[in-house]
Amino acid sequence: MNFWASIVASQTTLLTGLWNTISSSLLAIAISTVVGILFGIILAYGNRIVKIPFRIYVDVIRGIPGLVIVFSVYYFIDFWLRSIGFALPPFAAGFIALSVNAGAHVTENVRGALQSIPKGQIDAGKAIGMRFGQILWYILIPQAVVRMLPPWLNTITEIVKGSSLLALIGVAELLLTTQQLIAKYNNALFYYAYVGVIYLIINVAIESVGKYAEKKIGRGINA
Amino acid sequence: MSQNLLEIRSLEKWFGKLQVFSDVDLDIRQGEVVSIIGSSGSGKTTLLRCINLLEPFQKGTIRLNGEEIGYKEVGARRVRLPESLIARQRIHTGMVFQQFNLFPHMTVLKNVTLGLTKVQKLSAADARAQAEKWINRVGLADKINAYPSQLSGGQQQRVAIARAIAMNPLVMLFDEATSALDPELVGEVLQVIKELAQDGNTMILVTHEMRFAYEISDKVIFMDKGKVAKVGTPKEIFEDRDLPRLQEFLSTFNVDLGGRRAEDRDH
Ligand SMILES: Nc1ncnc2c1ncn2[C@@H]1O[C@H](COP(=O)(O)OP(=O)(O)OP(=O)(O)O)[C@@H](O)[C@H]1O
Ligand SMILES: [Mg+2]
Repeated sequence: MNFWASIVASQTTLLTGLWNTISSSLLAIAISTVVGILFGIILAYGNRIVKIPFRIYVDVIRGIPGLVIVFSVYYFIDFWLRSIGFALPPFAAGFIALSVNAGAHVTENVRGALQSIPKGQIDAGKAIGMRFGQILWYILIPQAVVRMLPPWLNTITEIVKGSSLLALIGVAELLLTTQQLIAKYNNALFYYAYVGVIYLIINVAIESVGKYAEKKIGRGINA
Repeated sequence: MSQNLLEIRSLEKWFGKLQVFSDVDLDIRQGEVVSIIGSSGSGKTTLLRCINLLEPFQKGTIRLNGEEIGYKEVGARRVRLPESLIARQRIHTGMVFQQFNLFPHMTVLKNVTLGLTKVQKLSAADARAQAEKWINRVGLADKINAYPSQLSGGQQQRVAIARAIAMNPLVMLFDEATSALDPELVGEVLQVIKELAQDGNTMILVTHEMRFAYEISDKVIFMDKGKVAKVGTPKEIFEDRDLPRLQEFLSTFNVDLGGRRAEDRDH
């Protein structure tokens, strides 16, 4: 098969890989964002004792390379599930590992954003008779969202790049399918460059949507 | 029921091992304007924050409209009320902060309607009408859709006053409302406060504007070394002959009360 024919033939395979990269990333983004907001609020405003396990989670995860987390989650959950008679598909282990990893980072983003809001905002909310839940929802979170958007976008691009680690536990995402194509057609240089450009396009797209969102929701704060 | 709107008895406040004040007693009647003066660190801000239940206090009672706020006696023990109840009691006190503390992500209108809709549960239309009335009163009708960052300090503080008074509190608390402002913006804010006083609002002002305190107050409180050192009419305080600490404090201000020029008196 000549060069151009092999590239045309590899598009469907690459598309499956792209789909797995995108879907595992999206799942991880969604889960880590929910987890991060919840844990971030607890770390910012929680009782000292209550905070301890969340603090440990964040510090431990952030101190470990992503690859180690992927392998640990995969083998730990796999081992545990096998003991009760289930098998864990690599894809599931993959997005869970990505979520566990990113969750720690989003938690820190949220905590930092909340704690950077001046204390007077809470006082002002209390002074008009609001309960803490209302202060959180109407006053603190809207301001925190603006502040955490840049680091959160950063975390998202890290998730997308980090999803390539899932190749190592056998998830047929972009990198693994690329490697399969290289095994089939050779031409490593071309395929790695090609897949690199795809990652780049995804992340540039995320950045530009983010920049736009920053402008939109930053009214009054990023004036 | 007592005739005092606000009644403070034997109030004592500690920050850890630091005693901020003790034995604070204070009676304020409906419609009274009370100024609190005293040197930096004498506990003026902390006292206002205790009245607004933003700070816990270790001893004493605060009664508002006859009801004890913030704490209750359970047997011999004194317990702080749960935050949800405290939030409800705070509706009756309005607070204006030195640093304005407007919500930066909301327009002027939204800053004022937030409490009306979420706390007082007014309909959007009623809240808007109420907010517009107060925004007009502080002279900012043309800024109703502006964000705080687009306003001068004086304008921001007037919005903060509108936000507090729109909740229709029993007592308004002002903590050095003009201290963070450029000198040329102080007048417009004092003017608004003065009008509220003339309307019969009950208020407590912590202030370093001695002339203003002299003119506006029914009663002035001098705090010193963690105590209420003297309470009196403005005349009794500013013309004091018995308390060296007070004379020393006042002498740092250059308050010229006797020989005021006629044109100054008109403001
Ligand atoms: N959150 C806090 N934690 C610990 N100490 C505090 C806190 N807030 C105030 N203090 C201390 O309590 C004392 C009274 O402070 P406060 O702010 O009430 O004084 P003030 O009379 O308002 O002073 P100023 O005129 O400078 O505003 C000061 O010694 C201050 O350092
Ligand atoms: Mg103060």
